[in-house]
Amino acid sequence: MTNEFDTISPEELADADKTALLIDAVQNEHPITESSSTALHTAHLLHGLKPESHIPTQEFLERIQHEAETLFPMPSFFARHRISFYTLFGTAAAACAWGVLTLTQQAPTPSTHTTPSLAVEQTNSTTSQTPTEQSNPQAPSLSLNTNTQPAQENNTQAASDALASLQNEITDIENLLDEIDDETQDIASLNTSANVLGNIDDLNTRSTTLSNELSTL
Amino acid sequence: MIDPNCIAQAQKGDQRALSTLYTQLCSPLFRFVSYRVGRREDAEDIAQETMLAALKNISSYRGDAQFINWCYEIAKRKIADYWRAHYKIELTEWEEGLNITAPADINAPDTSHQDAIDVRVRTVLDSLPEHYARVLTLRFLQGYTLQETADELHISLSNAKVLQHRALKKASSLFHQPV
Repeated sequence: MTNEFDTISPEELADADKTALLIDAVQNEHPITESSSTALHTAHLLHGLKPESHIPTQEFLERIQHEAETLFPMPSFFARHRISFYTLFGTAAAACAWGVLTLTQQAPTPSTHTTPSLAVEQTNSTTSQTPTEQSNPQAPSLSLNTNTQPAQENNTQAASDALASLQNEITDIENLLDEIDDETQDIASLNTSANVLGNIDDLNTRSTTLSNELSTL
Repeated sequence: MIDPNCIAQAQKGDQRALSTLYTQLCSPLFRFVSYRVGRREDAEDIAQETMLAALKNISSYRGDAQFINWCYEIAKRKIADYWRAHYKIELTEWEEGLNITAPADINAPDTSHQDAIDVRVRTVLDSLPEHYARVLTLRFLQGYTLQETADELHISLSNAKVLQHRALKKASSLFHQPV
């Protein structure tokens, strides 16, 4: 190997210095400003023989992952499920309408409670309680006050049915009261007739008596 | 292997598919590039540029080749641009001489490029005079400093410097001669 170094020119020594710097830069992965050539490429290839040089760092992988999320952002929940603003707005409006309807139905209404009570009070003091309790203990109006189950659509239907049933009950009671009034008037009329008949009988009796007296005379 | 449905969805502009492809391409492309670009920082930049270019032009992918091979072709052009710009070297002929066959399965360990380049480099090392191969092996494979190399070879620091210069010069001529 000694003969190898017998002929070293100053130029070659200078080039050797440059090569040493280049190899150090490659091995330490420093930026290389030297616009070398195939020697640099060869140095890189030799450096690349170490397998660990080709394993991406965790930092690089995380940076790529972050970039992927930035460059290609996932669509929002609403867009992913194709839920538009109009769908949301429509659903919210429908929910509000349902809520208002339910609250309105649950609130006491004069037309369903006062009218029949007054009618009953006029005719029968023992029926001054709510007509629902009087006429039908199993009336579905109870479900209006106690049913708070989340099956709201069913509740709404049940409430409507209960109101219709209650209205029918009230109508029936009103009809019954009218009939009672009619019969009362009939009884009064009959009493009058009976009185008239009694008077007629009395008159007949007096007439008979008078006829007998006249016959005697 | 990259799911063809994922590629099809990405071609339609599906963000989730594009994001998936972007992250899946990262490791194999980095390995591919780093074997040709020694500096890690540059390799990461080129791999990233390749991924962006691939996904930007994914609509032009016709499925004639494996998707990863299509990406490797883009990477080769990026690497060639890099070497041309930085070191005034044309790599095309050298690359073609490697005869790399990329694996069909992107999820499998991709060693085809490593193997091809390793074979080429070791062939060159084997072709060198013994003391040239020795100095390069100590410096590059075993990570010796120049002083440690000089001590190992029982020569002066200056002579070690000249020896590695001559060895690298000889290796370069072998690397870049037509295969």
